[in-house]
Amino acid sequence: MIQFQQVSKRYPGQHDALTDVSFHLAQGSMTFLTGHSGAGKSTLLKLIARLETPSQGQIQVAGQNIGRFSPRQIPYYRRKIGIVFQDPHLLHDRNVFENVALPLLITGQFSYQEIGKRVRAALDKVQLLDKENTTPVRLSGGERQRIGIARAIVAKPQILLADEPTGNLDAALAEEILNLFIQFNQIGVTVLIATHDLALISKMDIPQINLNQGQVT
Amino acid sequence: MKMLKFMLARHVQAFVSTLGRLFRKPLNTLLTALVMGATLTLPSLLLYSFDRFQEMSDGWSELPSFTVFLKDNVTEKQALTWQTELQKQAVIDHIAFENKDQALKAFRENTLLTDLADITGTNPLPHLLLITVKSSQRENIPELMARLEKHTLVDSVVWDQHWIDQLSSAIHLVQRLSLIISGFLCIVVLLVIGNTIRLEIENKRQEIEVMKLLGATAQFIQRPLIYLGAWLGFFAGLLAICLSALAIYLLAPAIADVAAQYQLKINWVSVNFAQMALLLICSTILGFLGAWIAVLQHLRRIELSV
Repeated sequence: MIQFQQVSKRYPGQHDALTDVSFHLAQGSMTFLTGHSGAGKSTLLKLIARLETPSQGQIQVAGQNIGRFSPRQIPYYRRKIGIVFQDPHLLHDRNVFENVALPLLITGQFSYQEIGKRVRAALDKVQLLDKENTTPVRLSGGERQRIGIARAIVAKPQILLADEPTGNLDAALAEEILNLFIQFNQIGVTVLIATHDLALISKMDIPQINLNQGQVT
Repeated sequence: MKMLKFMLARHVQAFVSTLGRLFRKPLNTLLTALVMGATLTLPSLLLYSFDRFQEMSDGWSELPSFTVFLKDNVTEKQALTWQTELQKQAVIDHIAFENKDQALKAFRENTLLTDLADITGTNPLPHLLLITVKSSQRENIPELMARLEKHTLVDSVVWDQHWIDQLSSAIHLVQRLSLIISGFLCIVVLLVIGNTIRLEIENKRQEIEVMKLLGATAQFIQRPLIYLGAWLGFFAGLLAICLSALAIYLLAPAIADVAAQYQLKINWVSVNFAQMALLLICSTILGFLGAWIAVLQHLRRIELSV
């Protein structure tokens, strides 16, 4: 599903963020991306989301070389990917329902009934169905994070990327969220989670890609 | 068919939601629309004034006419013969002959100088011909006048409406000038709209970034901003109409005074729906264009910084 072939990324005027990275993630797999902060985890996720382009090497996602996309194709590509950040980037002038509905509005292929149905299903998944009319400001950190996840999965993406999704949460909440990712993986979504929460990882039997100073170890 | 329906729905959604966005910040909206509206008021008033002047000069051009004073010794019979002769000329619409005795009689009735004839002993007034030229032959008037002036029977030729031509050319100059000023003011409106949209983009930076991240196309992000510009233009046009109406209302008495001195009838206060519609359409298009230019310039600069 996701294949890196000798990918390097160098930001202008800085040392290499990634050097000669190669790996392959099968469709429907779930993987942890580990390493210290600054090891290149975020850069790797950005490359997959086509927020950055590699300086060298090739990235194939679902059989397509994503480096070859024209600017017009990129939005359509991103719709196949759900992204969860440490800071969920919710829009504060809209309520929870509108925030989660955003990916569906963007594709413009759903009727209002369909949007309502899907948004409520996603909110139900993260157990925040009762908050649909609340504004994000009134939610706790964990709730916001779960809204971010609901938004990432509402359009049923093929790939789910998460960058430190449990970074701000206590252990119990972190585990709960991780279980959510496992659930999505079980319905066939390819999941890649970047984290340095080693305590959490050790409890799970999930393959890891470890980055150290921009290289796979 | 289904795609078309969705596309339409998306436009309607953007259209309505931008209106909602404007009303959520009524003061900002009002101030921006007021700046643009006030700027558009001057061109709108100029447009309105042209129309009034046009009506006025259309009224004149129906009857371009001048007076031919005949020499003292010309008899009535000579004058009438010449009138018949002149009548055949293609340039002339019709000729009225005014007998000097009748003229004196009219003069006596209309003035206090009842005994003018008694003072001079004779009738001092000449026979005269009032020549009305066909309106299509307006430009041939000077030539015709020059020709008539040389005629043996003629003492002098006076064109009563010469000042109208001078006024016309003055108005023409002012019209040109106003067009240029209006052009500049339209550019000002474009800049105001452009700046408003630029600020809106800055304010919505986070939202735009999130949308891009979620796979929004450039069009999806641009659409509400461009509609925003169009709405602002529309409201500016409405305000410009109100401000123009106010200005006309305030100016009407003064204009009526001036017009009365020239014995002109100006229908100064008249409602012209076509012109209002034109103003609204133009200001909406200006808003649309300004927003479009701003969006093209600034939206590209927003890079994803997540």
